[in-house]
Amino acid sequence: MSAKHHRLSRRAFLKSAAATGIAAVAAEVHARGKDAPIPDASEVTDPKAYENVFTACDMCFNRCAVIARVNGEGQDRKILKLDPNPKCSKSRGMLCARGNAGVALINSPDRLTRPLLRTGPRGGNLWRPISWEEALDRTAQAMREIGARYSRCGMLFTAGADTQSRFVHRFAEAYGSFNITSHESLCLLSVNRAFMDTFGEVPQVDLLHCDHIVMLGANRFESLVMPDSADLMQAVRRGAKLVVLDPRCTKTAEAAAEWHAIRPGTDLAFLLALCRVILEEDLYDRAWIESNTHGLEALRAHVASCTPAWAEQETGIKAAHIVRAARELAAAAPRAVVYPGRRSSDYEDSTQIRRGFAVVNALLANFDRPGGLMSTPAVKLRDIPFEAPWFDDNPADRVDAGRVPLLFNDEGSFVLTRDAVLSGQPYPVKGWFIYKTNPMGTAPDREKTAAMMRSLDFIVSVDIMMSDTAFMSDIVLPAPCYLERDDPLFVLQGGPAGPCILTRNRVVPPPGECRPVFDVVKALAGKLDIGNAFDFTLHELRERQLESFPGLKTTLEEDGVFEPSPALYGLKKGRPYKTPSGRIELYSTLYQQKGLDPLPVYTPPAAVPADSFVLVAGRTACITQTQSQNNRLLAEFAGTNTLWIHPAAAARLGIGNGDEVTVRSSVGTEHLRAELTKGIRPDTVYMHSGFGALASGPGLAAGTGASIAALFESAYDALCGNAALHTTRVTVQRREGAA
Amino acid sequence: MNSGKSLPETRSVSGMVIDASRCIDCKACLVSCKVANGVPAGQSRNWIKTENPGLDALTSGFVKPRVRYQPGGCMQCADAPCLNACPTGATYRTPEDGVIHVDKGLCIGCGNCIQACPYGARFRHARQNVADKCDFCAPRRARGLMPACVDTCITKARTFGPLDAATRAAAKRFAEEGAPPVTKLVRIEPPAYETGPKLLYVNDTAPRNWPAYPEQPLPVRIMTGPPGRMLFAASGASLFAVLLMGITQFRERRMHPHSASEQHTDRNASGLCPEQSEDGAERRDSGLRPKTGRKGETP
Amino acid sequence: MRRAVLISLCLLCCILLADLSFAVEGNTRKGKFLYRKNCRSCHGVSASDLSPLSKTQAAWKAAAASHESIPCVKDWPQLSAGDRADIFSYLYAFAADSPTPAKCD
Repeated sequence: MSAKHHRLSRRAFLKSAAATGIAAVAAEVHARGKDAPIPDASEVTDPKAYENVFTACDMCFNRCAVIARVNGEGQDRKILKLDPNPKCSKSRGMLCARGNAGVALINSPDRLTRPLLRTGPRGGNLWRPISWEEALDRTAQAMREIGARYSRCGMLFTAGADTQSRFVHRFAEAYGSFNITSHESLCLLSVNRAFMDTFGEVPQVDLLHCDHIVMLGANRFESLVMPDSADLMQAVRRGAKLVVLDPRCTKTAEAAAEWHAIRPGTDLAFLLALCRVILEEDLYDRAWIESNTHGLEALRAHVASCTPAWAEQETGIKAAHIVRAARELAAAAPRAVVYPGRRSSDYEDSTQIRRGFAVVNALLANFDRPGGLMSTPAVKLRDIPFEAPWFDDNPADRVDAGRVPLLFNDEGSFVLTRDAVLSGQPYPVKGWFIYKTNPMGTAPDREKTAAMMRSLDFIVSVDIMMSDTAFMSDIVLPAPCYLERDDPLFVLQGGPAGPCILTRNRVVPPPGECRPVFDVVKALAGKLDIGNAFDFTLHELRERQLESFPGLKTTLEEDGVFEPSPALYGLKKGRPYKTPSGRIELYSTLYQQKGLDPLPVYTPPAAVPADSFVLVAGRTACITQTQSQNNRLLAEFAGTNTLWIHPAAAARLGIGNGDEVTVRSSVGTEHLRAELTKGIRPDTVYMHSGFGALASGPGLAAGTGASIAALFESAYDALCGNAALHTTRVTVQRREGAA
Repeated sequence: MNSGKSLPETRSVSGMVIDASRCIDCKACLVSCKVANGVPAGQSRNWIKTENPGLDALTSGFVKPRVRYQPGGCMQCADAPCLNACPTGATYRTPEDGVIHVDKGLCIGCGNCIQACPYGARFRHARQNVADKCDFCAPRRARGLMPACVDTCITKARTFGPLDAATRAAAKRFAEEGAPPVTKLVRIEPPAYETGPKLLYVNDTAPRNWPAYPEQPLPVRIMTGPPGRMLFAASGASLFAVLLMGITQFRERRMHPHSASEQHTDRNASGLCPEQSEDGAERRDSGLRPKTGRKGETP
Repeated sequence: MRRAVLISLCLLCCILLADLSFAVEGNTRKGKFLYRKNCRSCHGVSASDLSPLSKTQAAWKAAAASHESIPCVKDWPQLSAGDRADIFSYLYAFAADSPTPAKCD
């Protein structure tokens, strides 16, 4: 009995309804509602009504290559699906849950669509929509006043990880401010500093060809990095051994051969003990070490007292396992790594801790070789240069300069900058231009960030939704999301996949009056008489960039990605490393010159009081901190966060699974539900980042779960100023009056 | 009612070969499917099952956790309980690829198929109010694209295609990657019922014994059980009886033209048959009137 | 006498070595601006396409120590000692073998 011949079907009725516009009206009514349907790709059966647009994801920093499947024109244009671009080696032809969920940005009721002017107090959520002309005039006027009354450095510029952030930096330079920060001093600054000071550059990791991986704290099967996450699974399936050290049992720990629940803050003790075993038992490639490294004997002397027994006392990991770990690593070398990790905003000596990571890697002789750390091949795109002006009445340096010895000039330290703003020392900073980043949601000590914002004369935020930071601003400017704009070309390093060049092509038009930040800073520059810094269009910049390689333009048009395919290993070719000694510095000449410990010295973490816990944070494959909030598709899988707590610790506190609890640190109090699990140390508690938003609106995120920013205390790394989050201690109690 | 047992064993039958050991429960396949197929919030055409033995087994100072993830979806069964349960034929199989579809125009929303499926692979679509299920992304395949879950997977745990080709492709890829070879394909089936799934797992997977025996819904059981058979038998018998009556009447007419079978069609205004007159003139004998019928009475 | 010469030589070497172990002092920010204003007008136009990446830190260090022997010195506009120090500190800080911080993207 064939079912295909019946014509009187529901589908036929719907089609006729659409023809009369009924369905269209119904769809419009629904589109702004909370449960607006995601466009249904299955409804479009005509292959001709379906177009491909090359772009790159922006749901996290990875920027995986994407092919958008699109249908329709103009305001009816709809994205049916975001698919991976199989031709991009770096993204391994995949697209994660968040990448797929990008379509939910398009019809989201939380999208900003018009410039807004604050009418009540900061954070009072009273807004008046204004025209772009008024918004830009007010912003330019405020910036002029701040420059005149204080100095050009009186304006702070903070731009997130975005392909258009370079225009915010250019604008800041043209305006004349040195005070530029990003999210990096809340994240990866320490590991970058440490590896740069050891190897002269920040390396990629070749997990694809690695045989033995020790991963401390990193969680590659949930905190996705491409190609690392895909390559790690392939390596494990091939027989590579993965050993995970983490206070909690993450999905990466689940896939590992061994999970050691290391005491938080003791990684360096473990690593120094590894060095001792490798050196004492002569488990290293003597010839390679002697010709490539500097300071072997100093290291040997330094780790003489770092015995496995000593490390056991510190870490809680049995000495026999530490010895075995060293031997297994060395046996697999050079196809062995201590994974450098990325987020290293953990302790006040995080740079020195990561130096420990770097030094063990150096002893494994894995640099610039398959299965080890990779020197990055240089891939440069042509640019439109510009000359930064000089203002004699400017202060001498960044407002956070001089507080730590190894500050990155282009990054600074958000935590130190905030302190400087609040104290007014060494000079006043009174204005803030924020693009695509949310310090209220991710910087430690949210109350302090709020105080900082309240102390400023003027704040303008450019964003796609009302983040907590935009919520506290004076003017909010609506930006198109990544699917709604063209972008300049950009280079991504891909480790063993090699580098690639991608760009973004606008897939659908932006809603309302959204304008990309390029247009915003260009217009502001014009009003501030620094328009010469932006005397080009985005299209002209792209054309200039497309001249960088033969075939770049046509390959991008046909494939959506260009892979220059340079050599990936053996890049050093005997050339000196970019360090003072010209070698890999086990012993850091630079640190010695600056009066810092040239070899990493272990500092035990502060003891955890009996009634307290170490608070650690992380995420899942469906979360990108606060950026992925308010996404209807992701909310099904990551709708809120819970407090992970060991059953024994919970029992002592009378807390049952699912009970509401109150978590208190010295800077804040949050409430959320407890999740009892043996997959965490009894002295540690954990929550996902990205929840507990303050900003209210039609979206899903307001008030859901607890905010890590409200709880974390603002310590910072003594060398580079990276935030140090895991020094925070919290108490946990069953919530009073809770069900 | 269709019988699912009639599937020809064609080697072009489409299938999915999954290496569950690669699954990291990232939910990419769930979101990808949802977007590609317009699945409403809170519902899903596919799933990821978990087997977590717990962390009690602390061996020698460290833990070897063995949480297993199992991505799955409609098994496109060779012997499909949903096909058997569908009263309208809305659920049907395309012979060229062996994929089972729902014709939403024919579906009356009875819910039989949802009950019948031992895998829980079907659901009532919250907006359309008809049955919904995985069809290996038929609209995408029509455009030369892979099913959404296959395409998007971070660890490339899924291979799709004509089942034997998909198996060979998976085995080849594993060999190139240095992964353990494909030594067998595992079926997840209910006890005592070979559904013949076309979504197969490489080497091993867990959990294994979760599908229940596919109990057909009550109306289906009635209609296909003894009461149903009796009903059909009775219907058949009635039909036969009517046919027999018809044949007998037909034969009578042929043997006896102008018989009483024509009389009752021509009553005049007084209600009397035309051959009757009010003065009681003699009527023809139809042979059907009772012999003892009184004058003027119709039988 | 020979001992005195030897000691002087050693001292000289020490001074030189000590000198080499410290970075070129100056305001690198201002140096970037001054370089672009004063040097870029020729270098990259009529003269060689010179940038900080053109030399190693040691080479820039040596150039800073004896700038009078740089070939184009007679074409330089009026520069104070402070300006010169700023320019060289910029060139040194971004020389070919200086560590280049990798950004998030």
